[in-house]
Amino acid sequence: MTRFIESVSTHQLLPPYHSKESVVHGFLFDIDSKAIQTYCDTYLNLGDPQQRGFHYRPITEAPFGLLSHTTYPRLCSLDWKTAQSLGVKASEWDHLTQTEFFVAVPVHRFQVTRANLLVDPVIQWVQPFIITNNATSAFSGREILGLETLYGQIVLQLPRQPRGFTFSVSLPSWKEFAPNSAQAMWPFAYVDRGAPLDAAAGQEALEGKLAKVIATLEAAIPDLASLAEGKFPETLELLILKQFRSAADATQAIYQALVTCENRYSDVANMTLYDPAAVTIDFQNGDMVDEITGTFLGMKSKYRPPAMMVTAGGTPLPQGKPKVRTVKARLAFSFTATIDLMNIKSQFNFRHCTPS
Amino acid sequence: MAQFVQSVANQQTPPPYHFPGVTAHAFVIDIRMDAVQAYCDTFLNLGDEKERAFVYRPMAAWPYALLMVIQYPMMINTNRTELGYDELPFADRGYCSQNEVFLSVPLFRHGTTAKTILTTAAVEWALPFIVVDNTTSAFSGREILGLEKLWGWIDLGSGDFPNGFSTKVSIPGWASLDPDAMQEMRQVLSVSTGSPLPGVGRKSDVTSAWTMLESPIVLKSFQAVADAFDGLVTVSNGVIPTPMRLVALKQFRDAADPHRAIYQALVGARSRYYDIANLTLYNEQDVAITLDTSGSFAEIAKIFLPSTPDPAAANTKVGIAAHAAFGFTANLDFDEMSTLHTFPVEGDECDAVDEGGAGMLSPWLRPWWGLINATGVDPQRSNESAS
Repeated sequence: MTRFIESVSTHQLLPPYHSKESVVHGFLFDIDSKAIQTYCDTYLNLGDPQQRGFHYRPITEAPFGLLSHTTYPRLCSLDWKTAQSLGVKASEWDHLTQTEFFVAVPVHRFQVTRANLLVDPVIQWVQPFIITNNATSAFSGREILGLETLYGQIVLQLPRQPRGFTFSVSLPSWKEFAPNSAQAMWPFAYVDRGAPLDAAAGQEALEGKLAKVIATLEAAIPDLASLAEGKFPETLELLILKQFRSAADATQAIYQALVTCENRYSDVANMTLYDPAAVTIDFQNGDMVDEITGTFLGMKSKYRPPAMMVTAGGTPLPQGKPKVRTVKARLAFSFTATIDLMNIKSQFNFRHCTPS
Repeated sequence: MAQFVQSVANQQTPPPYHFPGVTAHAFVIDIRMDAVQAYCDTFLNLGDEKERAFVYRPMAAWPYALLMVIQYPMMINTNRTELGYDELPFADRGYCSQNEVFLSVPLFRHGTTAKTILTTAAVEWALPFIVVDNTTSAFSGREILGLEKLWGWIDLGSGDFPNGFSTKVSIPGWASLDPDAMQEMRQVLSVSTGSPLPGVGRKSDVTSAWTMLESPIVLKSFQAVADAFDGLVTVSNGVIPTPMRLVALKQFRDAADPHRAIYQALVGARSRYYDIANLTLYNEQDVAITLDTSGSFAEIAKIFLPSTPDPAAANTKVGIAAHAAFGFTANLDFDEMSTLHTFPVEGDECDAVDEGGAGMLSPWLRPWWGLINATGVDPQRSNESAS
C-alpha cells in the first residue's frame, strides 16, 4: 500500500462520516429524461460499453430530482486511525458544522451482456451539483470522494409566513461570462418552503393528491410511501465520478474512477409534510446559474453570449434576456435523522494507462 | 491518459494564469534546516533514492524562508482550451480576485549519480503553508497543481503606522485536540510593519529583481541576509522570487481507504514576476509577526518556528523575527506546469501515469532538451544506465 502523506495543510475530514440530529429538507421535482441521459453519457458511460460492462440510464418511470437543504450541526469523522495517530482514544473526531444544498438524481445501472442487452437494473443516485458552506467539507468531498462540491453561502432568510422556512444560496460565480467580468458571490438559488401541513392535512394530502405522485416516485425510491409513517428510506447509494486533472495537460485525467458510498438515515423523527404548491424554488439570474441548471437539470437555457462574441461575419450574437427559473415541487418534506456516509468503494476504475 | 470530463459545476480554472498589478509584501524569516530537511524527506524524497534518481535538500547557504502576502486584483485565466458541453473557454468566462499568504522555502535539487548530479540540479521553492481567500483558487491549486492551499479569511490593512502594512489570517481550525472540540474560524497569523523607510518607493528605478538587488539601499536593508553568504547578487539567482520555480507533492487519497494514496507525483510550475515597481522597504525592527500555536495550529508552528512549540505553554501566541521586510508591485505570470516525477503507486500500477521528462531538467539544460529527447535519453533515469 502506498501511504498518503499527511500534512498540516490537508484540511480534509476523513470518512466515514457521522452526523447526529441532522435536519433534512427534501423537495422532489421533475427533470427532463434527456438531461439525465446526457448526464449519464457524459459522466458515467465513459469508454466502450462492452469493456466497462455497465450502462447508466434515467429511471424512465420516474425522471425526477431530489433538491435538499441539509444541516449537519455536529458532523464528524469516524476514522479511528487519525485519532489514534494523535494518541487520542475517541471514536468520533474532527467535529464541524455545515449546511449542504444539493440535487440528487436516481439513475439505473444496467449490466451489459455479451449480446449488448441491458439487464439487472440497480438504483444509484448521482449528485450533479452540491454546495456546502464549509471549506473543509468541500475539500474532503472533492478530493476523497470525487464529489464536485462547490463552496458557497447558504443563508436563512426571514420566512414569508409563520412557521415558514426560507433560505438563499450564493456561489462565487460570474453573472455574465466575459473576459472583463469579475467573479463575485452571486445569488444562485432561493427557496421558500412554506408552513407545515398539520397532521390531518398531511394525511389527507398523502391519501389524496400526493398519493399518485408517491406511487410514481416509488419506482426510484422504494418505500417512499412510508413517509406517512414518519419513515424515510434507510439507505441511498451515491455514485460519483472521481477524477483529477494532469498538471501538465489540464484536459487529461491522471485518475478517473466511479466511486460509490452509502448515505444512511437512522433515528428518523419529526417527519413533516408541506404543500408542494406553496413551495417556491427559484434559480437566480446569471450565466453560471444558467449553465449549471441548463446542463444538469435540462432547464431551458437562457444563456447569453458575451457582447464581444460575434459570428465569423462580424455580427454580434443575440443576447438572451435574463430570467429567474422556477422549479415546481411535487413533494416537500422535512425530518431529523442521524446521517452516516459509509461503505465507500471504488466501483470501477477507467484504467487510463499511458501506452508503453 | 483519459480525457478529463469537464463539468460546469467544477469551480476549477486550469492554468496558465496572468496576474497584472499584484501587490506583494515579503518578510525574510529564519527557518530550521532540520525542519526543511524533514520536509524534503517527508514530501519530496519519496521511495528509493536509487530508483527516483534525485534528492531535495535545504539551501544550506540561505537558511531563510520568505513569508509573502500577495494581493491579486485580477487573476486572468489565459487557458483557451475548448471544454466541450458548449462551454466557453476559461479565458472568456471572467476573472477572479484574491489575497494570498504563503511561506516559501528554497530547496536545492540534484541528481544522485555522476551523470545526473548536474543535469537535474535546480533551485525550487516549496510552499509548506499557503492560505487563499478564494475557493476557486484553492480548488484549482489543490487539485491541479497539488499545492495544499488552505482557505481562510485574509484581512489587509495599514496597521498602526502611516502607510504601513498589516494582515490577519484566519483559517478553520480546532482550539484543542479534545475529540469534542468544534471547528471554528481562528486567527492563525498576524503581520504588521511600521511606516516605510524613506529613500525608495515610487521614485525607485527598480524594474526587475536584478536592478532591485543592485540598489545600495536594498542591499543595506538585506545586510542581515547577505551576511549569510558571499555576494548576494551572485547567489540570489533563483532565490529572490523572480522567476520562482515551485515544487509540490500532488497526491490524492483512495476513497475506500483514505490513508492510502492513489496518485503521488511531484509537480512543478513557474511564477514569474516582472515590471517590478513601487519598492517599499520597512525597518525589520518594526515588523511584528505573530503565530498562534494552539490546538490544530501546532502542526503549522513546527514549520515556522526555530524550536518546536510547547503544547503546554500558557501563551500560545509566538513572535517571529524578520530579517528584512519589503513590498513591491509587479505583474505575475504563472505557467510552465509540469509533472516532474511520478511515484509508483502500489496496488494499481495503472494509476502511475508517468508524465515526467523535461520538468526535472536543470534550467541550464532545458534549451538542449529537444536534442537530448530526440536521442531517447531520459535525464531523470539515465542513472540506471550509469549505474
